[in-house]
Amino acid sequence: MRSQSISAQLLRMTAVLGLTLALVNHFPPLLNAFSDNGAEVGCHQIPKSDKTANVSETPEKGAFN
Amino acid sequence: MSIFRFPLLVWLGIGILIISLGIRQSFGIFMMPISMTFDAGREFFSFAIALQNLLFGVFQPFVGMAADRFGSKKIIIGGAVTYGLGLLLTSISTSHELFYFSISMLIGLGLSATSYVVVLGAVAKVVPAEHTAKAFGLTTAAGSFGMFAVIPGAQSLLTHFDWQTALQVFALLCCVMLAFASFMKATKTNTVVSEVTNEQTLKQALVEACTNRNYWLIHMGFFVCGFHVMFIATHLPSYLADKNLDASTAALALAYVGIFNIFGSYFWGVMGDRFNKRYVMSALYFVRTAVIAAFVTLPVTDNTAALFGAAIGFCWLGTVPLTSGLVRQIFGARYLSTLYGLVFFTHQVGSFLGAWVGGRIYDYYGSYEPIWWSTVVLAFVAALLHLPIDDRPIAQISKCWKKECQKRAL
Repeated sequence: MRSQSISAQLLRMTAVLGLTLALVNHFPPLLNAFSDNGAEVGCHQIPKSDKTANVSETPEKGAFN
Repeated sequence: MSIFRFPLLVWLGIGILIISLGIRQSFGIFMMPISMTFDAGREFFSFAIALQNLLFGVFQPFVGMAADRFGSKKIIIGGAVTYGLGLLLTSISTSHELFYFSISMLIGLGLSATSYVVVLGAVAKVVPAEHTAKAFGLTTAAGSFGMFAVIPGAQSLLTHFDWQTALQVFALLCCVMLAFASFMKATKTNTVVSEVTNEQTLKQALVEACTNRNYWLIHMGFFVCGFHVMFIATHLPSYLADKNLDASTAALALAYVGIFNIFGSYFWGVMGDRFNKRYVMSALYFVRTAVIAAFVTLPVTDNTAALFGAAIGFCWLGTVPLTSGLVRQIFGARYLSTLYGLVFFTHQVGSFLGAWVGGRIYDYYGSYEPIWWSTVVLAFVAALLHLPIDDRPIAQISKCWKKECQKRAL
């Protein structure tokens, strides 16, 4: 069984987080999904207005390339 | 304890949360087609969702009480049926009244009965007390992952069918929640058995909590959490736009909030089991204080916006396993759904004010600076509020108090 020490758990979490970031930054649809809905998790939901709706619709520069 | 050793009920609860919250998170993409069908502006749909949020919070304490009284399994089954019925009625509604009733009232009620308060209450009864925060953290993180399970499917359904059919498929998906709930079997741990067999009534538990200073400190802390999260989620894109940053920067910042939140929720849960929960909670709010203060003070660039998204995302829902864990630790698992349901309601009030007051202050001052600094102060106050919490189980305090009284009487 895998170690349940704090350091071992943190190491595993960091590895999965790094992998996720790499995956998300190289896969624009996933990044868009996160940007559209990632902040609305759990008990929060934002009734989208014209201004906040689909902020990811204009991926011109930066990490989207 | 490895997460793979958690009882089956924890995984069933996670499955229920993924479906329940995933469906709700997909509502945003229904705004355009629904508004067009009803020939109404976006406000029509936005108001229905805002009302649903409000009712979701209002129903929560009552649903929690019902779960503690009749058992989580029955309430989740009832919630899944209500959720499915709400989705079905929404899909066939032709009048505004029926639409509001089904999407706001029925779905709000169904959501209350199939989300955190009830599921965490059930989880608390089967996981040993010393591993509760980790189990809550895992459940919260997995619940946040719901959007990936449901939103791609919703987008695909909307591409191939109309929105009515998509909602009817979601209504069928509620049957899966029903199936998961029917397999839920509470195998109580030794520590929970002693608490559950305690003869305390719901009314006594409520009086005990409401007359307890620690409970109100937890309420105040969670209010701040709701205020922060909703303010940032609602106003961050506008704030970044005001700073002349590209929309893609706001998108990246929000994406990082979502990614880091999943890991943060689990991380803070693990920390809550390892260290004293009130100190971990204070640490979380101190981190929020530092992160928001740095964001407002330093020049806002593409990089600082992304860093802010990552840092604030890391403390986004980390308060959920810690707050529910603290309530469970102090007041026990028996009436957790009720007591956490009330705390959750306070959180929703904070959420409402965070979104509303943020816009109001911006309109008044023409700047987001005053509200950003208010959130810094609130985070700092919340960090301090958790320090004096006496997190010993209340039963233990009562015993100590009785012994003390007996000693004095002698």
